[in-house]
Amino acid sequence: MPLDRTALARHLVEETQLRQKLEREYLPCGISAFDEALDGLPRGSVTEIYGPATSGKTTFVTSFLARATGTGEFCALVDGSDSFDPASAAAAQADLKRLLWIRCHGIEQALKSTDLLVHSGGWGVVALDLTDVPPAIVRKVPMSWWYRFRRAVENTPTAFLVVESEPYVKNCAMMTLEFRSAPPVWSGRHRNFKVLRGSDIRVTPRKPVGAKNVDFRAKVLA
Amino acid sequence: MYACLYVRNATAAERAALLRCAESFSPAVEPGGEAVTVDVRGLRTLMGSPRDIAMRMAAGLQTAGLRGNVAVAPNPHAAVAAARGMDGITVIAPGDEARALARLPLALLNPSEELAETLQSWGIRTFGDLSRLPAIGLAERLGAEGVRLHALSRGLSPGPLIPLQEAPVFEASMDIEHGLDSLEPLAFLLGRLLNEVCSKLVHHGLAATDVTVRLALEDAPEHVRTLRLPFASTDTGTLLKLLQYDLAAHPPEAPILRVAVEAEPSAQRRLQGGLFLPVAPEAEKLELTLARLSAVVGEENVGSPELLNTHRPDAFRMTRFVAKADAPISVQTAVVSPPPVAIRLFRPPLPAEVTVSNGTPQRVRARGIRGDVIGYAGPWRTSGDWWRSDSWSRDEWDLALNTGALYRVFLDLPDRWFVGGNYD
Repeated sequence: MPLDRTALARHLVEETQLRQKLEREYLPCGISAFDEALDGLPRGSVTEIYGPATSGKTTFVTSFLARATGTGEFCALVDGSDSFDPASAAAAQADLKRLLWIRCHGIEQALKSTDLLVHSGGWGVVALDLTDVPPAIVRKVPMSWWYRFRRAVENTPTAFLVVESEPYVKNCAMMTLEFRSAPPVWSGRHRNFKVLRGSDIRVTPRKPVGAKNVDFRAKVLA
Repeated sequence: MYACLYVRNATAAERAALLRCAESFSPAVEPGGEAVTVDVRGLRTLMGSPRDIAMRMAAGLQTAGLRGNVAVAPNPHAAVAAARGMDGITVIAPGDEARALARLPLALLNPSEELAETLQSWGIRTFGDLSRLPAIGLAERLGAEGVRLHALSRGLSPGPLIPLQEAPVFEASMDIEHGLDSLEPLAFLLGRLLNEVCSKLVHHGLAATDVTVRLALEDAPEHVRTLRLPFASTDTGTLLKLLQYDLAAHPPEAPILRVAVEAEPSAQRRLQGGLFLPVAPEAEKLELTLARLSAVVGEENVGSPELLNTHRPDAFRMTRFVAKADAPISVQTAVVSPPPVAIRLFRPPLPAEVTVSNGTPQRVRARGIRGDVIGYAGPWRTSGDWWRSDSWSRDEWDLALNTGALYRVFLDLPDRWFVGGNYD
């Protein structure tokens, strides 16, 4: 019987990923549907989160930071375009005293700041948000930078997140999550008396291969 | 031998003069308000016998314009009791304390009110009366205080002299012959001075929380920079690097003629780690990282956000980030389920052109944003601080565009439109 090489390759990849998953520690993100499906985000490696505007990625990252700071982790957010909203984080019950916010203006400042943080150690989460940096500029970042960040957090308890509008980190990331446009949820019938209630968010894991989509709803607090 | 100088009912000025008089005889002085005790054990070769010493001290009091008593005794307590209870000069020989103090009134021992009443009722009036009572019987009836007073009545000392010590000053300075106009050579001088100051701190079992650098400049006011640390440290390397970053961000405006370094002492840091606490950045490393980050993005752009108690949109201030490893809050209270929708803000808000029809927005154009409105909620009026020059008043809308994006758009009354943020 001829060897089904495709099936064999898939089996080997899944076995390797399972072994890595068992050895690696994960940080829950505070969204039960996601944590049940994927256990959270991995420590000591790079997680890439990307999606267009209003896809729910910032909601996801904010919830993750809130959960991490709430359990005593010290987190750092490198904000590439100074667009972080502290009120949103506070609404998610983040402990803002455990969050170091670096407000950058441009990718050069963002990359330098990230380099300093990942090499200083002691962080539970380091998140680099390049969502609002023009894609043409982010594409010019050499891959060696991403590998440098990955090496810096390997074998440390730091979960390193890169948040973007398009995927740039690619092979360097251990987990890649794609967020799709989340349609808003309105309440109220009359067109003049509607209220924004939330949005339905879908997370499609591109890595690990074979993981199922995760759907959850985010709400707008009154 | 110990001497006591006593001035009854001394004013504040007289007490200061009394202390100065005592310090002129010996550096080992214990101040006590109206009575100052001096260790005179080393004065025999200089001044002679205990009586000679007492007479010299009495003359010193007179010279200082003070009228008081002087007593010399084998221990500090006996000297104080004798000076308080006996006028003029008193010298008590070793072994003669009980007899010399026998006639002094019990009030000089400062017994508690209850004990004084009890002793009074027993007919005990003087040191001698108390010292003749059996110690065991006193212990059984009056407890530990009775035993203490019994020992004092016999002229026995409760403890050694606690001399007044001048607070050590931790500073070092250096004059520069030719004005220094760059920071690189300054670093070498700072390193030397910091080494000197930190060595002194370590010698006293202390560490520094604040380090101040004063630079005297040529034809310019003094340039002062203070490093305030969230932890006490004597690590010269870390302190030097932090000072270098600070001076690079706030350089002096003229050549430097003198460098001085002062440290504010504090108890040394004691750390008790926990096995089950989350990892935290190391204090020294964190300070250096924060200094480096400040050099990259500016000091005002690094820190923890703190929300202000106001309804003003986007009201917060940046505070200093300190990694305190406190106990974390409960996981249950840390999770909000379902998660709240977060917004990404545009700072500053993007000026926009909004086409309005029948009072509702139909189309939005701004930098990087263009689309037709397919869903909306609003307007909501928000305003505040009307009494201030920076008051605000706006109508806010949540607008869903045909591009799939959802924006917070507001009309800054009366007629300027902005895109405030993007729900994501």
